[in-house]
Amino acid sequence: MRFPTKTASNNEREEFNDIVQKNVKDCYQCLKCSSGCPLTAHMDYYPHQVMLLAKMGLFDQIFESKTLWVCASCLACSSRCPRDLEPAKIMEGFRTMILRDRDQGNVEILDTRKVPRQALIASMRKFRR
Amino acid sequence: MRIGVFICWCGSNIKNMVDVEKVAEEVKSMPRVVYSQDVQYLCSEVGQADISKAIDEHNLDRVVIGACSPRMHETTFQKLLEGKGLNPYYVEIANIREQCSWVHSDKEKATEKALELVKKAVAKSYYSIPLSSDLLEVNKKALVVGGGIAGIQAALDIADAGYPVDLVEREPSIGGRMAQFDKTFPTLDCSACILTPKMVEAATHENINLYTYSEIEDVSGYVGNFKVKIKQKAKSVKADKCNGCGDCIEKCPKKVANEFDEGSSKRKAIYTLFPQAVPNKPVIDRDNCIYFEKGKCGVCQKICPTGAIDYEEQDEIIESEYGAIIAATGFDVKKPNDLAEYHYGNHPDVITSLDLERMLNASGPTEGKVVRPSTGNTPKKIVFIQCVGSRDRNKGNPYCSKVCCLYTAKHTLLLNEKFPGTESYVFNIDVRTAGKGYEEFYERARQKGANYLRGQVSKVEPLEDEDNRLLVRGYDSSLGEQVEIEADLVVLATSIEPKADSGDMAKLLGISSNEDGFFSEAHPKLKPVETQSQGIYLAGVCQGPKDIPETVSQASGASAKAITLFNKGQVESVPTTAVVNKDICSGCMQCKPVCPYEAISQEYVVEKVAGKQVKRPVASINRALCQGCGACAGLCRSGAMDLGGFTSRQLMAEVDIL
Repeated sequence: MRFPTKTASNNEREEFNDIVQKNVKDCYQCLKCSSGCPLTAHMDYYPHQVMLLAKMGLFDQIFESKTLWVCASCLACSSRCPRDLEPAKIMEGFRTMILRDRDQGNVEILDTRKVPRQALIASMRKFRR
Repeated sequence: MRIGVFICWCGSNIKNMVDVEKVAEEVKSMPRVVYSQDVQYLCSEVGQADISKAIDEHNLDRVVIGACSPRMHETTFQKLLEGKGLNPYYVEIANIREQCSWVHSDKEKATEKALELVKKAVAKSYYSIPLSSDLLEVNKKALVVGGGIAGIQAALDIADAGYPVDLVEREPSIGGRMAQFDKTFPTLDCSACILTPKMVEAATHENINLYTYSEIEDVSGYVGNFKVKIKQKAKSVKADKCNGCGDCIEKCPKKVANEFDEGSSKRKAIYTLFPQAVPNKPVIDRDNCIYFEKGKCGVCQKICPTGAIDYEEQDEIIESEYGAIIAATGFDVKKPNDLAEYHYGNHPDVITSLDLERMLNASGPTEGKVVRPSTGNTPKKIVFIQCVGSRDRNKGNPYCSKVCCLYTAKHTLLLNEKFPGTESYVFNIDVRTAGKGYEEFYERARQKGANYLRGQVSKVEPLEDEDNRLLVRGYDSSLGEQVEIEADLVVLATSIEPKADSGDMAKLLGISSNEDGFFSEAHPKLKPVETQSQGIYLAGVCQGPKDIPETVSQASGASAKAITLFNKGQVESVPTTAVVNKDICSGCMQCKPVCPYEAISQEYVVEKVAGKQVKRPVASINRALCQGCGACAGLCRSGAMDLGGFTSRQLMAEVDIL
């Protein structure tokens, strides 16, 4: 990665801050989020790397990463973060930013009985379709 | 003679490697040993009570202790004996901890060695003689070497306690390194604002005598009675006539690199170190002055309205006596020329943190502006590299320089404040913020926008674009990626080193240094301001890297030690002095030149030989000066010289018992 590189615009930063209400600059890279994440095996960027990219304003790299969609929102990272930054919330914030740009149709549930409510909410949050 | 032997477990320190019961049991068979016991903690109140009880019950008159180094607790046991009415030098210590249990891993052999060490001590005690010390008067005047913040603080504290102090500084002004700084972490106090009042206070204090532009030439004597020669270099400007108008400086035609600005600006050959210098009167730097080089010029003399310039002035040697000396000689900053990967010295935009500090300082070469030295423009993207030459066994200094993490954080904050929009990247290995308010300060630096990247920079190279920028190549371990930054300015947090001539200073003062060249304290935890030489104390970075709060605390600590000494008014002389057996001394006087304390002189004895009166020279010891080093005793050809507490008879007994 070579600096100067394209970093997030002020509008993007503002939108992100509005959604997550967290100061990612607080992150001191203790790596506790990544050390407890159950899904790192399937991620391209680990949670702490997402935090670091967010801190440096490299939003495009985050938008393109698989990690956002692999994240199960189990909140292990959020509950343990020593700086109370809630990495899961940060991930959610980035997903929201992507989804706002897309078509947001209604949600169609195929089998109401078989879908656990929690999964439904998580899926709505992630895919909103 | 009734000897008692006490073997200490030192908790598990000795017990784990030495069979203490066995040692205590076996020495019982030695002649004159009437009592032997092992104790868990001999230095504790309980342990000492055991010894005390045994002395009473068994009527002991010699005590042999198997424990830690006598350096640690010899005085503890000596005091105990003294309290029991015995001579304190009737105690012998066998060091079975540092010299035995700590360094061995075979319990059987360690036990054997411990037994031999104790046996030696018992044998030595057969010949121990009572020793006593004299009370010596203390000269109640202190010498502080070095006029930085450490020296100034120490001098002020002693002076405030009512004792006279001489403060010696080799530069033309006091102030030291702190005067070079702009702001100080973690409060961002302006360095000059908190330092200059102290400098003025030191200069005007009735008990402080300032010797600037001066160096220590020679130190002799001992605690309470040091004799010091101070060389006052010729300033060529008469202080009583000069009114500090500065006309001479303005008109001086010769310019040289200004060391106070780390060479980034010019000063004249007649100069004051910085605008707030104390004393604020110029000196002529004779090595660079045209008059002293060629005998021509003399502009300053012509221009001076008060006739204060005196080219004929000579160096002056001032001899004075002191009771205590405080060494506060400060540090140097390593120039990272040998770390070629950083390109320092090859590209004007690779600078050290001290260079940046001078730039940020309002009285510095750029009057507070931060610029790229190559273009004079304000840099937008600045890369800071930490641990340059610190924690580097290979090409730098193996220790942590302690203050770089925080001053780099400070620089990023100041840059952010003064030039909003500057991007700062900090490459670091660890960030160490151990100090009150430091973590919070570091957090503030991160919040304000400094990007901390974890990993060392592998290379800084010129980009060779039209702006003459630099490419910094590193790796961020958090990101797991190589990072390249096109930077306008690269700032290297360079390593702190002892003064280049700190070895000479250590020799002069008779104190020791560690392998890095920093002066050694007497004990790293319990005697952090004392040295092994009584009456000589340490303050500031000459002892090891420190920040300003720590330096000031240590300086106050050192001055407290000196004040304690002055308040007592007397010191006990060393009892283990050399003794001459005048009957067999041949008067060769070989011992005189080897004595580092000049304690040996020649005298004459008159005796009857074959009915005639014969006058014959012999050596004589001044007990007040002798420090018991033993150089004379080791050298004496006729065996006439002996050292109290370590007589030849005692040492032979130790060898014979094995």
